[in-house]
Amino acid sequence: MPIKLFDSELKVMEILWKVEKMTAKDIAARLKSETGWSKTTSYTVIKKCVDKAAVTREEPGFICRAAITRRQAQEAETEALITRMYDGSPGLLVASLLGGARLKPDEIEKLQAWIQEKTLREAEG
Amino acid sequence: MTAPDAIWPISITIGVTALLRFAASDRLPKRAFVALWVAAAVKILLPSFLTTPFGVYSLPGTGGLVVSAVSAVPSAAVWPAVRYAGTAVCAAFFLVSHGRGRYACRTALPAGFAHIAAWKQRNPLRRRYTVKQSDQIHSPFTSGVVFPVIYLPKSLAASESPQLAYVLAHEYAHIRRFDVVVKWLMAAALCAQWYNPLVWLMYVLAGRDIERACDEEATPKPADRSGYAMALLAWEESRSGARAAFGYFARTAVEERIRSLLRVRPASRKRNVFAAVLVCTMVLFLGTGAAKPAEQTFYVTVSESGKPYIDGPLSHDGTISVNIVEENDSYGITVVKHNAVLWQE
Repeated sequence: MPIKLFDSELKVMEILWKVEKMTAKDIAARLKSETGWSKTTSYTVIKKCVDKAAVTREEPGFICRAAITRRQAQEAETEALITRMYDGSPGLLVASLLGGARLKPDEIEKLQAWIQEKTLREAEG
Repeated sequence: MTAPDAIWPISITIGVTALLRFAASDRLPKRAFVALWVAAAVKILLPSFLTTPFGVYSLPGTGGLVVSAVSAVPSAAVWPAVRYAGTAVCAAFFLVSHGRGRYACRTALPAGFAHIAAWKQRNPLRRRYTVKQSDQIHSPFTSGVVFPVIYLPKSLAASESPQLAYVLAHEYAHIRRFDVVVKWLMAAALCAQWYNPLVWLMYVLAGRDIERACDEEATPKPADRSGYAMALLAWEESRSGARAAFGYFARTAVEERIRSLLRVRPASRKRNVFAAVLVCTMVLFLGTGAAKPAEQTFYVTVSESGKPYIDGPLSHDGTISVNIVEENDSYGITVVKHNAVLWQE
């Protein structure tokens, strides 16, 4: 089931994606310097992440680990974006990216190579 | 809290202010109306804050002291209970709706965009203030008095549009004018005299005038005003779907804001002086208390065990006290002011 993460929760995930595990206390300290949140606020957001099954909690010590990878979160967001804004069609999203001239020439090349590779793999079975 | 009889003077005050607003809205700076509403709210909350020999509160019939003894079942004193219950409900409503937005506020992230930092540099303030953004809020607002924070919806904060500039200017005006305090004052006045429909009118009109005063302050140059009005219109259009339930009221409020912004005369020293004089005169005549103390109603109720107790405000200036003395099997009640006995039973 796709997990909907708010910006605040994503901030917690960003920290956890860089390390294997971290105590909630350390996460709160880092969040304080990055965003200015109070300790209570940081703990509330961490708990929200745990409720959404994006973070696992280990006792003793309230040790947190990321339960989803960055890639899984990205895919969930992209899926939501495609459904909401592009009528469920990923092609329309790609067309919008191409049409909006957001991709640099080397990115387009990489994309072409990637599409070729994918079609080859699918042809092989 | 004032006794129910004191609602007539404040109703006159509110009525006159509302009429003035209806008649001369375009000729006066909106902050004049905000000042009048603040004076009315202060009058509701602190009835004897200012006392002068003249003024509507000195009208005959508002002086004297009334002590009513009601010796019956405790529920005879219904009105005070109802009044306090109403105040509690209103207060609960305000606190709950304030609390609901708090998660979004506390987890908002600093809006560290270059264009916002540049705007902040151009608009300094003696107090330290921050601009934050959140993906969980849908309209901009300001919160906090000592360290104010402007909260922006994420999409608005990221855009470099003129709409963002107008929104920031408007919120900045709110901060400069301490509107957060004014709004809480209005809420407190409403909780105190919720039973007076004119106080509800005051609350609604004051809210609109606060916004209009900020609109005026955000656009000191008349040339900015049409662009600002267009931005207001566009903003309301984009939100009208979500506000369908409040459609009519929301639309009239926005219409009023746009119209008054486009019609208001440019600021001039003469106009400001005239407005200041008018406000002072109105506050003196309509906003001050009587030199004589206002009417006070005490409810002396007998509880089930037979002991009387006083229900109701004792006095708002501390000069009246009630002593209940138990003598054998009966009770003596003495109401004393300045050591002179006013009433005894």
